Amino acid sequence: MNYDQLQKSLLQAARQDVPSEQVPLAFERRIMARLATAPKDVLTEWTAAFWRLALPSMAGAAIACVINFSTPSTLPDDGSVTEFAAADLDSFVATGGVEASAESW
Amino acid sequence: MNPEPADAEIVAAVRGGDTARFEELIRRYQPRLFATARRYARREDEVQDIVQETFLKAFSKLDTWRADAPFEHWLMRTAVHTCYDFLRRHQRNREHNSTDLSNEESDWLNQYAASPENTENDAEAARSLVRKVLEKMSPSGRLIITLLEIEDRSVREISELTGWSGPLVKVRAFRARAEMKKILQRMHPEKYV
Repeated sequence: MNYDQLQKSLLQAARQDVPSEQVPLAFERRIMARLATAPKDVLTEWTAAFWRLALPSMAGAAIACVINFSTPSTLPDDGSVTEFAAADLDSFVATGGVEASAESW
Repeated sequence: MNPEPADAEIVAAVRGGDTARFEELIRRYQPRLFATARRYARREDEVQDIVQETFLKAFSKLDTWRADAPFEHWLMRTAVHTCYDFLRRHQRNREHNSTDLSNEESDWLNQYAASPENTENDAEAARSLVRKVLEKMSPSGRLIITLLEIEDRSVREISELTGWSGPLVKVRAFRARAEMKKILQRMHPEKYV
């Protein structure tokens, strides 16, 4: 027996065996009903939502960075702000600010 | 008469929330999917399960379809994957008994052994015999023989449908032919050799 030839003959027979395209009645309705009642995959929906939000978030962050670096600082750069802050702290401690604020409770 | 809306238009509508329009896609492609599923499953309830699973998967993954390839190709890829999963799930049910040939199938083999050129290839016995051989094959072997030899698809098409690389398709095709031959040798009594 030539098995290669037998194989070829059987494959030829299989090629002639064309499967039917027949569809059960209202099969599409059955699938639509399944889709309507199928439980939603919460994890997948959350993941998809996060992915959808990722790009706008990155764009927002990029815009904020650009604005931050392109806008000149409104604070003077001569150290006066630090001095004022130190003076404020001194006067606060000297006048017993902590106790006074505690009493107000 | 209005022309049928394009697949891309329907998919866009479904993605936009009009899920009822998915029914149009089901009606359009279900005959093809039934024919595909019937190549891998014999029982009608199994065929229906495969088609249903394919459409449910397609619906849930509709966002992944890019319009650069036809929707039909994308859907067929999903169908082939679903069929492959089905074959793998039912791998244990494969029959390993070599003495389960019907009288008609045995007669056909007897006749073929006696004179191959005078044996009809399109006989029902030959078709049922090849179905039995395919059922005994491994899932990947059966898939590759069906796509390559029976549906006459190219290696590139199979590669796109299965996601396997071209060389892997060729290797699996080579192994599948050898596997099929081995099954035939096992099925066929030694007395004919």
